[in-house]
Amino acid sequence: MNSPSVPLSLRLDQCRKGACLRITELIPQPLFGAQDDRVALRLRELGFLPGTIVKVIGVGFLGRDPLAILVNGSKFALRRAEAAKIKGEIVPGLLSSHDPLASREPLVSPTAGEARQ
Amino acid sequence: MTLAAEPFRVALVGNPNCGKTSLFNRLTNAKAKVANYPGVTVERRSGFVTGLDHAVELLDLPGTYSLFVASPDEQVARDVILGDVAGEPKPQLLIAVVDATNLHLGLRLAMELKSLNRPMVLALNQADAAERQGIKIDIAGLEEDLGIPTLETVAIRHNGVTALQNVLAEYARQAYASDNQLLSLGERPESVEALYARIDDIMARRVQQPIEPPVWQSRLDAIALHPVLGLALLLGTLLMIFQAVFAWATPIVELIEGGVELLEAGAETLLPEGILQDFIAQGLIAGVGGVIVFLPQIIILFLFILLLEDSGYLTRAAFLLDRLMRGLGLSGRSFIPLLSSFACAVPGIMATRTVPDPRERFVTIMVAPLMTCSARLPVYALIIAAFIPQQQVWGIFNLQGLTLFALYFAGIVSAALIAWIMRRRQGRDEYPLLLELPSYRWPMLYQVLMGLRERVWIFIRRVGTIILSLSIVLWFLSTYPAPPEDAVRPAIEYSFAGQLGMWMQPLFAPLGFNWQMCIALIPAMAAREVAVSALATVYAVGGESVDAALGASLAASWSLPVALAYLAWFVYAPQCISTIAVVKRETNSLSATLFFTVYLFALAYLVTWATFQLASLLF
Repeated sequence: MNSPSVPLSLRLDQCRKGACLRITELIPQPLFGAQDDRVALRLRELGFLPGTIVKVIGVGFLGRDPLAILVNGSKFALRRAEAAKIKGEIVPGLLSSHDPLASREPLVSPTAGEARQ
Repeated sequence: MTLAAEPFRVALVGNPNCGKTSLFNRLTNAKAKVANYPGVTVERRSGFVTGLDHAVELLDLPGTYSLFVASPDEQVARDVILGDVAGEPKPQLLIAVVDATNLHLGLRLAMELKSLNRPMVLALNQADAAERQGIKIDIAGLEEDLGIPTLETVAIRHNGVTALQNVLAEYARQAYASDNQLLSLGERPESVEALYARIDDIMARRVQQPIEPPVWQSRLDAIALHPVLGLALLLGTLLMIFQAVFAWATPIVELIEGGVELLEAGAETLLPEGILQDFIAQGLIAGVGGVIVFLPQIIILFLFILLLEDSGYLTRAAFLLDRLMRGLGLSGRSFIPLLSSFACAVPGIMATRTVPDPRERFVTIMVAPLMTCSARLPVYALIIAAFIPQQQVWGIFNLQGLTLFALYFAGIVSAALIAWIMRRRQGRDEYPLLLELPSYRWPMLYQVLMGLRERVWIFIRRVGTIILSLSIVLWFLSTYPAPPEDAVRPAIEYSFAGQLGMWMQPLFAPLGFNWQMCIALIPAMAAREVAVSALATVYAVGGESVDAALGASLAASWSLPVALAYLAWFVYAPQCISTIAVVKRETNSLSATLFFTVYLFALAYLVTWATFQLASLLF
């Protein structure tokens, strides 16, 4: 089994450093209360749209928060609360080749490391 | 050259970090007029484009991602574009500034602006950096697809904006009358998804770019954003900055102090003895000179902040510290204002404008003065030198240095504690961080110097206005009424300030303060460091080495607990009219300013009392 037949669906805040996620939808986040729609709108304006592939390029020290995310060539710092609004499927094998400090642990399947987009 | 009464008004609009301000500086020769928009506290930067026949006024709007706003800064950008700011005529031409290395994000705002049907041009900025990264843009094709006149700009080159200048000249000449603005911004003309789909389509046809950002950028971020290496790098950077602020500034500070003393001496010899001489030498020169002395430290600190900002590193620091600061109800965004406050709380409080969460902004303003500003240093230095012995602790530390560190530390810890308490009073919705981490770039000397000049000028202007007038008032209070003919004690004891000090003394008795110490607190309201010269006046010491002589007489008349209590007072008390004034301006609220002043004085009183009582028991 080289790659899972059913794509792994998870939220961006559940991803490890180095993981790539193809966004499927933005889900509500009760922490933002009445502002939630505006946060979702801003995320979409910044390029976090269904179909877009984003990559976790850094995580903070305490509680692995915030996350640094690469989207369309721009980088953004997102707290876990914002990242939890973003749901998607892991894209296997999109680990960057030149990220010396990226997590060495397998993200999905140990053999899925070679294929590129 | 015809200078029409009404200049042609042009506004620069773009994302934060798109190089808008560099472009502004290049076009206007960095001659920015900085003011505030009426009723709001966002800075209005404007200037005239150089080298044109017509007067073209360029407005540098705050960076924004969208017309659907998220922060006070963005609100102003939107309101100015739509002509919703009273007294601010709407711009006749918009320049959408798009970072050519970050097209996807920038084009979205440009397209949103285009839907307003305003006359506009698109400036692809940092075209040189894009070329180096292997990004190839078909300008003519892009222009055709977008329907916006498009040109490349390189803000770091002298001739990098010539094309834009020519376009501006053309627009100004015709003073475009056609103005079909959609005056209200109701519904989005098209969804975010549809707009991005169009941008993707256009970019697929007109732009060739590598899939990944440059390798060195990723490598730098692998270190700068790393939970351990990144924090170590940040800590090292901050230590280096503080080292520079205090070590490098000293010779320049001494030079300025020497100059001020020369001026004073000059005034005293040139002018006939009497009230005028006293006013000029003691009131004006000493008062203003006492504050100008901090200029070198402020310049060095701002130089580093600007370098870090321009290189893109400062937002990485905000990223690293966000979680820590969130525990206190703040966020990584508050880091920059608080860092500035180590030079002076005034620019620090002004820098809170970029914080979108109003509650966080309020708390940041409230705790900013607890960061040890450079004005406290002379007071600390005087008292530490007089009371703390020069001795080694555990072989490596110097007790005097440790005391200074403890005073800095006390300020930071108290700020953290107070932010934490203020946070706990409110259960409310969270604000997102959503902070862009811009591409790293080599800081541009020209831009950094221009930014520095602007900030230094703001400081000097403040010295020339608020501090100058306060110095005059305080000089008056400490000079009048004049002492009687047969006076034996120092003249200041007979003055209003002296009387006020005597009157205050019972209030401060539980803190161990004597009336001389109370008197010194009054002129120190203009600037904390004035306390040193005020103490010198009341203890009637003078001559060559004032500091050493004053230290000796303090050591003779104060006990150690009293000295420690005085230090504690200066850690907390809002002994600075300028700070209080800027809090009033930035919060635009009398009650917030009152709260700020009262809580800090109350805190100072409490901590000083505790320090005095505890130290009296121990020593």
